[in-house]
Amino acid sequence: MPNNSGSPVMLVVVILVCALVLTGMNMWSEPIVEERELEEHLEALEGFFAGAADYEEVEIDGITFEEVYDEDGEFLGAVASYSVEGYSDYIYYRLAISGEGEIRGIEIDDHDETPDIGGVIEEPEFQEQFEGMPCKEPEDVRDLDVVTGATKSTEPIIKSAGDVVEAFCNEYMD
Amino acid sequence: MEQLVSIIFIYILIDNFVLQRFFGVCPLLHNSRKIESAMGMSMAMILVMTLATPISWLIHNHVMEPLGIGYLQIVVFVLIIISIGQFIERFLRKNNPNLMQGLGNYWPLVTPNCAVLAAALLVADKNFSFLESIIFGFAAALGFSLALLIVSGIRDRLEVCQVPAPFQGVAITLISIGILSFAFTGFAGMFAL
Amino acid sequence: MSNSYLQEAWKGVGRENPVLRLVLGLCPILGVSAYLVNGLGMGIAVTVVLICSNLVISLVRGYISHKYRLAVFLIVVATFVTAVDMVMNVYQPDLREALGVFLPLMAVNCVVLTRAEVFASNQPVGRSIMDGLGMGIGFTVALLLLSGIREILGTGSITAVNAVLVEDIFGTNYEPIRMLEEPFGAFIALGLLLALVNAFSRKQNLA
Repeated sequence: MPNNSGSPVMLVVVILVCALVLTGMNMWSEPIVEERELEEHLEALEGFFAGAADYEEVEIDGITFEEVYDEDGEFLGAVASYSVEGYSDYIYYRLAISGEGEIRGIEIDDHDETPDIGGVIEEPEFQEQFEGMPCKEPEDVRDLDVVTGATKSTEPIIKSAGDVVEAFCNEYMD
Repeated sequence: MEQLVSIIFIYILIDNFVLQRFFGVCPLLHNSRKIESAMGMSMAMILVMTLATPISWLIHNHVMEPLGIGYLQIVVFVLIIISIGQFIERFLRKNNPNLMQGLGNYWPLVTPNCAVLAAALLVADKNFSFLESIIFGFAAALGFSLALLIVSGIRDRLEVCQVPAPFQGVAITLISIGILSFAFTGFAGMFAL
Repeated sequence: MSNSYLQEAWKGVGRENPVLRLVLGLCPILGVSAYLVNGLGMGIAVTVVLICSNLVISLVRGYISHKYRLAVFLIVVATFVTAVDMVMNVYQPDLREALGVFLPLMAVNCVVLTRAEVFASNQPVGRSIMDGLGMGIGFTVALLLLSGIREILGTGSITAVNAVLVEDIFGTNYEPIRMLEEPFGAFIALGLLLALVNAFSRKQNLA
């Protein structure tokens, strides 16, 4: 029956055995999970760049970019993840710029804006104006149309997008 | 600074650990029958949680991540919480036995507790700074204490009411907590991080 | 030693149901019961952890010193919880994400720890396994009841993680009781469920 001697030996043994078992299981599961996450991420990137096969995270001017490559190692473009303060809370978006220096598109990942007002940032009418804008003219990007009545939601995105394309051009287009 | 104040208010009122997230319901139910129990449990939780969150933050960000042993998170955090419990118990027995007497009964209940572990896990998950993690633990514990004290008061009143037999005990308490939770949803939207 | 193995398991489902009669492990019940599928997943996970931890603790019960027994229980349980977490991450990642922080919280689940302390630490392996199985099934049954009430009455349909399984159970004119899907609805639903169970068992005792 349970002994009351208070020796921690068993406890230590238990900890070691558990650590070993979990390490073993982790060695089995980790590669599978990583593979799956890579696939999911690439699928998301495929939305911007068809044929995306690999990506690498870099930081340019304090902005996090993901360089996207196809299976031949060709540089397809880069996707920046950015967050700005909107009307209610932070807005998280991704901006994709092609290897030729043109904006491929914008995707809003998370926001807390009022559905019918600030929520316009998810509408094609707002997002489509980014497409095709050249990174060489960041001022043109910053001049894109703000949506009246939703200025506090739309303007920060537009202004920051200008910074993103400027950083991209400085890095990739000289 | 504004961020820190926001954290406090959010986790006490808007995202209350018990009322919105269901962490710590068991100890709440078991300790709310008397105000003294409630006070004791509150103090214990505040003490443990405020210590547990920054320690978990440190070990997670500076030991586990660099070593790549993130998968041991649950085991390690449980060990941390037990150790904190043991340490506080020993410290209090020596320096402040009266306090330990008051807290004494609740000690074994505090350690294996949803709320403490949940706080530690959330701290590892969110991108808090070290200071923010301390405030977070403190605020979460305050939220728990607030809920506990209010429920304790409610149960006090319920004792003199004629509660139908099937509802007596846990059932009516749960319904009361539910109504309290409903009341707290009125705070939603007051603060944002 | 009066219970047969089957009785050992069955008591966990009915007479000594951990949730509805012993009132343990409420945190995850409330937290996961918004959707029936989540409830089922959580119930299965808890049952697995219960059986495994009861088994191991019963095996080593003669070697654990009294002083460290709580620590040993917690570590063994935490290990199995982590293992279940890893397996789920490989085979059911969507369900795992839906369960969220409540999956790791099984490590401090009142039901698991109480059974370890009260039962497995002084009962032979066979009975401990049966006890774990019974308690786990009882837990799952209670969880399914609550989740069923919350999701079916609260939304009028049953959804899997990414797909709708059954829609418009009460017809398209059904106005769902939305409050059941909110946190406070969970408390109230569980309270009512417990009251119902109490009333039912009282009748049984009096009959």
